[in-house]
Amino acid sequence: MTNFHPDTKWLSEYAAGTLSDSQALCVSTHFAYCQKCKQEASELTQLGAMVFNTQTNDNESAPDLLQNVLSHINKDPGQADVAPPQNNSQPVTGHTDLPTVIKTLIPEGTDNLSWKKIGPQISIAKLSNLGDTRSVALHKLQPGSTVSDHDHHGLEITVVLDGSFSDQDGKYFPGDFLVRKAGEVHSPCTSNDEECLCLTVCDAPVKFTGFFTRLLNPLVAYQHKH
Amino acid sequence: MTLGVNPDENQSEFGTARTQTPSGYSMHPDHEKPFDEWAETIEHIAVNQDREAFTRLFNHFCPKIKAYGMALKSHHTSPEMADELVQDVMIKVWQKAKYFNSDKARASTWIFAIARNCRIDYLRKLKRISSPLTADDLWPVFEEPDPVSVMDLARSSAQIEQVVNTLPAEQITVLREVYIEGKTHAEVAKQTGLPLGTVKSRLRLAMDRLRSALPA
Ligand SMILES: [Zn+2]
Repeated sequence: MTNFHPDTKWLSEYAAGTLSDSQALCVSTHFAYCQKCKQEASELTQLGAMVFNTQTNDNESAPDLLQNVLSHINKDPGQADVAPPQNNSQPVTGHTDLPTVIKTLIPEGTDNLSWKKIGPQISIAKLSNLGDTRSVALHKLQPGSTVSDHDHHGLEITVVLDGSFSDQDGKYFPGDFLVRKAGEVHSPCTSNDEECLCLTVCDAPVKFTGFFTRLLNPLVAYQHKH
Repeated sequence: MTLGVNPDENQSEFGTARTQTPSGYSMHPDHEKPFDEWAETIEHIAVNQDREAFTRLFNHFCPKIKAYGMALKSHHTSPEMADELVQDVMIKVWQKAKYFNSDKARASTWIFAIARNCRIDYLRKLKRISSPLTADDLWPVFEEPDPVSVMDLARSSAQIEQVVNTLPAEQITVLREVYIEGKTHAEVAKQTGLPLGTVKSRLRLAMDRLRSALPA
């Protein structure tokens, strides 16, 4: 039911490894729902490998590097994998059917994150920054939320993880990958029966901005006047 | 041949599962599977921990990895960094050889993906950036094989060379800038004066060539 996908630019920058970490997180999350994009990214990686493999080189040998590597693997010949650390400290509750990369990022589970209510029906859990300055967060929209028009001030990516929401452009389901640019105005609303969970990454390194956050600012300001 | 098989089982059985299959190390009928010498080598290393085979693999890929390290357009790029990259990548190849599946991937695709991830992690280390996710978390290379997982289009080096030789120079240049020099499309567009859409369309054309030149 995934209808909104990253385009070739996104997928090739992912394959080349030039996307920022937080943007790669969004694309990688999308793959958990979309075999088609995963396949395209794989083919784009093969394209890169093709160039990698045909690099002209003088075939210089590097006996010292080889010796270093051999002595390293002689010390540690096991080819063993360290088992991923099991996080048993807290029971994982909340939205549990999530992509592996999201589970790795939040091993404690969605319920154990520190959620901040930023509106009557919207909460945000800001996640730690990855290797870049973009803000990474989860947003939770309660069933039946409607939020007023808002526009965007930077590039914002939203990936639906659970539930659905809609705006004038369509209805969005798990896996849908949405890129919003500055100046675009949206008034999202959720369905009446289920909570919607989204991953959001936005350019501005400003606290608590994001797809569903900024839209609330006029609303919050309005409420404060009364 | 190892579709859906837990790599750990292969290792504990010391390779019996691999060497007894019809497409195992010593047998590779051309009509069944085009020969990828280095794929066979990696599978052999996974099973036998053969250091001589590993040395051959090292000598073949070392210059490519080093060139990949040196090509990065960054002020962090140096011969020392490229040497570190070669060592990081080849140690990982040794450690993770059991995850390689020649039914799914060409050796060069697998090693390119490892080199890409190592270069990302190495740059982070240089920039003292800490992140809860490693490059391998964000760009998974060592996933458990599953029946619907993706597969390489080309299987033989000859097929790949054929494609490369027929690509126009302008497409090769864009591919090199994007994949090897590590530039974003926007950076390529800015430096070459090409419209952003042209960068994307050259990649697309090269992709179409790769797809159409290879048997389905
Ligand atoms: Zn997709």
